[in-house]
Amino acid sequence: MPLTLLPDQDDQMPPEGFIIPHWISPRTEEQRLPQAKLNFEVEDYIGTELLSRERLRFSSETFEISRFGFHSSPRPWLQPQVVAKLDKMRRRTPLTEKEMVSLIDDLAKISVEFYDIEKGKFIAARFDGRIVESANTQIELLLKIQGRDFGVPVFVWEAGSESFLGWRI
Amino acid sequence: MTQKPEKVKICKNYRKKAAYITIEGTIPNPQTAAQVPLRFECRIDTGFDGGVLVPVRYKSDTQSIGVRPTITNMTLADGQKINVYVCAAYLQAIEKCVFESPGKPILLVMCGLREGQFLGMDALKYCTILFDGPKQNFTIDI
Repeated sequence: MPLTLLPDQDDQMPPEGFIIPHWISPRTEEQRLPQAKLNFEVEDYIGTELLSRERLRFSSETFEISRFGFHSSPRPWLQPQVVAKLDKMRRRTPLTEKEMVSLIDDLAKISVEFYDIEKGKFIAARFDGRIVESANTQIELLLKIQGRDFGVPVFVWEAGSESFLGWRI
Repeated sequence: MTQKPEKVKICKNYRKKAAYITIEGTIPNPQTAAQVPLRFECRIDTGFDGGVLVPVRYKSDTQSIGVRPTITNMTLADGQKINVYVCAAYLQAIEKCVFESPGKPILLVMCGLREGQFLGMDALKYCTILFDGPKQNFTIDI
């Protein structure tokens, strides 16, 4: 925000013959600036999932730039073979034990790399690779996820461990 | 300045050639503050690394307060792997010794149909137990 000197209520009008430099008078500055507005096309921001109320506004009237926002936190990119297995799960086709183990193994590794989780931390992750909760101990993690509904199954894993601890439907 | 709680010493005799103690606790739902009270006599099992092992029928009690237990597997003494349900619970009292609210967090393991509860090392870490096999008694220091 530009630094400006605000005039007192009594001194709204300058005395005759007194020249106010344009940089200390917001009104003058506003008059000098062009009234052009930057209009965004839908294609410009649709990829970033900007919230409607937080769209970037450039206006000489407000001088306001709102913050960027996302509808949801970013999730890791999943390899095609992982996506294929998830699609199979969505179609309620049973996965073999080997497929399920490799799926959870892949998801756990992708999540830990994406979110940069330290080894030894306990995490609860969704099947789309998003970590919903993390804690230092298993009991602490169970207390955090206890009673919460994530809408999808979550699995519990100790980062760096070769086997996962369990899952919750 | 907080006052240090007094140490409690409990001496008990073996029953049916095993050590049994009475515990109290709760299964909490931190989201709704609902809880299921637990009170039973447990057999001390130093070979079990969980907190408390209870029959699988407790699963319906946890579900009644909106807690869905996590499915995991456990290895039995004979090497057999079985699926069990686990959730977090609070251990609030061992015999007459009451812990500060909400209690000590422990792992509650639900498996098997046979009645009987076991107290494992995850719960026993909060106290010191001295077993005297020839005299058939044990002492708990909390």
